Amino acid sequence: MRSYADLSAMLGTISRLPSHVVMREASDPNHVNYRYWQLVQEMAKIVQSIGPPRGSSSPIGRLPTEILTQIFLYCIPEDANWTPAPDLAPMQLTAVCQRWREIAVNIPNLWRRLRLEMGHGDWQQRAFCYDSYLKRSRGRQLSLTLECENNNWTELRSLLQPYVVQISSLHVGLFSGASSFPLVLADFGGLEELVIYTDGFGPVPAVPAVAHIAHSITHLPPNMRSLRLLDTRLDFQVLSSLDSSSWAGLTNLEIVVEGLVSLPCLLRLCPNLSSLTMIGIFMAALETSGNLAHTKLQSLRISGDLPMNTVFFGLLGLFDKVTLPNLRIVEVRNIGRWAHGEFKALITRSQCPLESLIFSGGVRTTPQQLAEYVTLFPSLKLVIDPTRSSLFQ
Amino acid sequence: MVHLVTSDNVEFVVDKEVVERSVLIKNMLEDVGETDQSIPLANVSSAVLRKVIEYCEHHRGEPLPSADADQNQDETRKRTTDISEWDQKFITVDQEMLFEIILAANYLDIKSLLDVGCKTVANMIKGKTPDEIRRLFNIVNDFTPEEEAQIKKENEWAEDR
Repeated sequence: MRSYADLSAMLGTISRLPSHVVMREASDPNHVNYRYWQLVQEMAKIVQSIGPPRGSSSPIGRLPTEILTQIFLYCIPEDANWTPAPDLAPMQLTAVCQRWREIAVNIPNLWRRLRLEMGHGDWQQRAFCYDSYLKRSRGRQLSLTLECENNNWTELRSLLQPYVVQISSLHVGLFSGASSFPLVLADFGGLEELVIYTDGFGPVPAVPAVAHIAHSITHLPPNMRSLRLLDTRLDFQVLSSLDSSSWAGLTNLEIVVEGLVSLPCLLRLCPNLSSLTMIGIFMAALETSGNLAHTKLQSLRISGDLPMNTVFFGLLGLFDKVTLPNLRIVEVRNIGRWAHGEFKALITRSQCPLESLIFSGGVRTTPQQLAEYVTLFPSLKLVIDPTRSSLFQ
Repeated sequence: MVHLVTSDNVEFVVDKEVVERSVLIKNMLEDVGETDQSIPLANVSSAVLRKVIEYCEHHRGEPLPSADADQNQDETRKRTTDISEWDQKFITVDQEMLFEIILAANYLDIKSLLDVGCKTVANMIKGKTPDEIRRLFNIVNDFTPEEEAQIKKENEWAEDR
């Protein structure tokens, strides 16, 4: 039997139907249309006369399922890093009353985000609950965060196996107890975004984990567009071994690298990148072959991996071998003396529509250099903010 | 001008541009054409319609949200519950009126007002325990003891940290 709230919602649906759908044959369309609206209003009166169920003392009980659904979707925490808790949606919503529970478990979009923790409590019980949670997503795209403090990957893989193609966003935290990363990313057919990070207690995860990560990212899933490898430093040898066909689809990349040669190397590897963030050591000037034009890159952010205020030699030819005709945003941090000459040559050579140039902490520029940029790009948004930290957020 | 008659037989005369923020009324006016006849709104009381008109007056001339905007929003990861200052003040009413406004917005098909109402209720729910929610909205706990035990079991893993 339908509830009053749902009957009321049906009325809303009927009244939104175009009148010609309801009454096709009409000699006087205006008269028929008006009669149709009268009938809708008559029905409204009947629904109103039925009223909410007796004993229903809750005004919220009058809301139809479709409205409660919208409310429930707004209850999901906005913070991307939220952790499931009994007092947070969606779990909280299933424990209020029968009706809320029935509605909540039948909204797949409520169950699309989950943080899974390996290394906490009883895994068997946890795995059962994670599975019950994920089942409610009913095939929708999933956004998962895996926090790993041990190496029980077999159990994790077995839990995720039924959902592998649903996962579109995966954040993996490798903490002190995790020394491996044996996920085969190519199996995650629906993956669009991958972030790998550590707990920040060390400069890099344990060495075996780096090797595992490097191995895992050699071949990326075909739909992957965004990759952020935080804290995991990859050297030129690793970059050279990556599969160019699967990396070609990336449009957003954040990576920790070694060596100046990594910029042309990454641009060559990812011809569709629109945003590149490089964090690394740019101390040694290396010879690179040929000039490279990358037409898609719009945003380039570079940060040296050095303590703030270190006396440093600048970028040493980082920009020398590239042309970036679509470059709009540049942000640099923590690289010491700014390579003004190199950069000016790059933007002149590229004839790019530079819109925004941001010098954060740990970059030394002169007023004359800044004035030159404004002359070259009169509408340039120039930001000098030494208070920004050395790492990009 | 458009004549609207509420469930308690009060007539409102409203500027067409204002009242057409209701997709229901907009479609009706397009269907019926120019008419002097009043539009009966048997589902909406005068007190509620007064509030709805106040909202529509304030947002007069703003672009109407497209039908597929809602669909797209469902797929995004984050749904913000931010409400503008004016809307927040407008929707600061007692619960009875709040839910009546939401029902009227749904019936009259005024998406932006429905959103304001839904966000307001969501903000009331956020951060509360199920018991606090029941008390806030006067909802009866109709779970059997067995069901409560089951729910507790389902949710206790999230407490185990």
